[in-house]
Amino acid sequence: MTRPQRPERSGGLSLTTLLLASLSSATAALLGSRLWEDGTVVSAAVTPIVVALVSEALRRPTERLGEAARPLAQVARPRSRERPAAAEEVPRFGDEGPPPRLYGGRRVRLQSVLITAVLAFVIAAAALTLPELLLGSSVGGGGERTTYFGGKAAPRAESESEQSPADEGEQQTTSTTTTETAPETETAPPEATTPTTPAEPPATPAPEGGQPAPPAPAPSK
Amino acid sequence: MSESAGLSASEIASGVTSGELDPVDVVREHLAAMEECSELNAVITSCADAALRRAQAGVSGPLAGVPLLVKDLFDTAGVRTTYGSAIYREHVPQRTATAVTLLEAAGAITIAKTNLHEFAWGVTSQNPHFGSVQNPVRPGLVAGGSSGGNSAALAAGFGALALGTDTGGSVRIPAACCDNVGFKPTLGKVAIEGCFALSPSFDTVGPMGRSVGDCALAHQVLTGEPVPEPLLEGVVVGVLAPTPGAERLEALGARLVEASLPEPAADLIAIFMVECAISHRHTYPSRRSEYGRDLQLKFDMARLVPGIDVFEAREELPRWRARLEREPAVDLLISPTLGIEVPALDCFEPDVRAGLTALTRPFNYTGWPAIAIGDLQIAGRDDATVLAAALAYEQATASTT
Repeated sequence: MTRPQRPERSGGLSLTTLLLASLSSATAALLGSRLWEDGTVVSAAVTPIVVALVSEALRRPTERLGEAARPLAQVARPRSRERPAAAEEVPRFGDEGPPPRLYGGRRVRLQSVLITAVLAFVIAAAALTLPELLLGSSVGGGGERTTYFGGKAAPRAESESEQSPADEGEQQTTSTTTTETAPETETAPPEATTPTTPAEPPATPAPEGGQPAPPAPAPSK
Repeated sequence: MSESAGLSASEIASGVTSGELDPVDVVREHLAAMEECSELNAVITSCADAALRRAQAGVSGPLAGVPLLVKDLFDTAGVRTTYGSAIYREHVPQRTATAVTLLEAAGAITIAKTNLHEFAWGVTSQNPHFGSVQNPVRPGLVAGGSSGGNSAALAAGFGALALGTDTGGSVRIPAACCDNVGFKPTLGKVAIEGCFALSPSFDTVGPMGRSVGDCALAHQVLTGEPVPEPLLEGVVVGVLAPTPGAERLEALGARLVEASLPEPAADLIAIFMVECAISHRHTYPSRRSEYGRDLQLKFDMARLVPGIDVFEAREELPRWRARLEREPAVDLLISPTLGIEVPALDCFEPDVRAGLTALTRPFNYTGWPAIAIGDLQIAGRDDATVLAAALAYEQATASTT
């Protein structure tokens, strides 16, 4: 009887790692754009590689520990001999199963790490860039059109001029609001800023719950 | 039998190197002999096409053109590797085990993946999935195991060298059953990567052949250590049990003394049992019905080994090994290889395994090298001393026959 060939599981991509790497890449892109002018793409590209490598490295000792610990826990609790499982309960050959336990079989799979990292970068870039293109400005701010690829953010005025006359009324309101808020968010002269006075700390900090602090216990004699 | 089938590995290698033998002819003749002996069930997968292509491409090295048998416990890239099981019946690995690579790099040509006891846990090579290996030397009796396919093929003359594994006697027991040679080197001496794990505390890769010289040559290739000069003169040999060939050793200058191995304070079999269960935890008991009857029994028992026994055995093993560095105060130990007579082919393996492994398993516990020359076992603390004595014994035997 010819049975289907068992697929080898080495070299496969981990969906968990891919998701983690994608989220990390997006986060790194957003943070990178704020902390370092040219850091967006670099941090977004490097992060998924680091995440994938760390994920691989962390997974292996966990698996090894499981090999050693689980059977010991099993034999520590003697139990009655297991009955043979009914044929229909036993997974047949060809079902997804573990690879054979071989010596030297555990290696960090560089190929899958790189593929995971590239996919994660693409997913993160797409997830941020597409909404940014639709909105016309970067989620991360900084006056660029996209977090990953830069570009000048589309000025509102230009987009207004493209609006149809029928939208004019509504658009006017938006324009006014934008004009009013702009100077405050942009660089304001130092003297215009309100000086901040540090709040005086309370003499006795209130305990959690806002209740007055209980009196200190009397020293024991 | 054809011209080259039956020649030793070193004879074939020197013949191919000098041009007296054509490696293509050598491979063809061994494949033809293999075909003639198919009823032995010694082979699971023939590598005929790949072997011929390799021979045609030309080979060189200390094992140039030597037809190699590989126990089907070692991965071979692109070649079906079953581990003697139904579960991996169609498994084709992507890489080749390190030991196989080393032998092939030295010029050996893999001609077949050989039959074995299922997952190498057994000493009779009665395989429920690929047939019981027949003993060409003692028809009606088992070929020994777990590397039984290797020994049967060597005895039948197809394949000049073989690669096996030994966890409780698996290269030595079949060598004794089929009258050839199996060498278990020092634990960890030969690379084991790419081999299916049974009990990592004791699993050892070792060569098998029709002569000590061939095993020593393979050991040199596998480890890089030189083949030692034959030596028995002045060697102190402890006799563990009345042994065939002991007088010959004495005649060659060895000093025989009675000896015994100190008893470990814990039963070390607990380590072996629980490690077997661990190695198979992904498939046993979930796929119990796909295992042979004797393995089902063994795994059921292995999963009941009390944790405290394993703990105590693990504590005792290094203490016992440290004690063995001093005692017994001998250079070598000898014994029969088999603890009982070769069992009948219809035996139930669990009934005979304790007897068959009684004199081999202790040297898996010690980690010492041990060689089986038929039913003579020579063990010692280092590979060179054991091989030197075995070579001296073989030379003397050959000169008197």
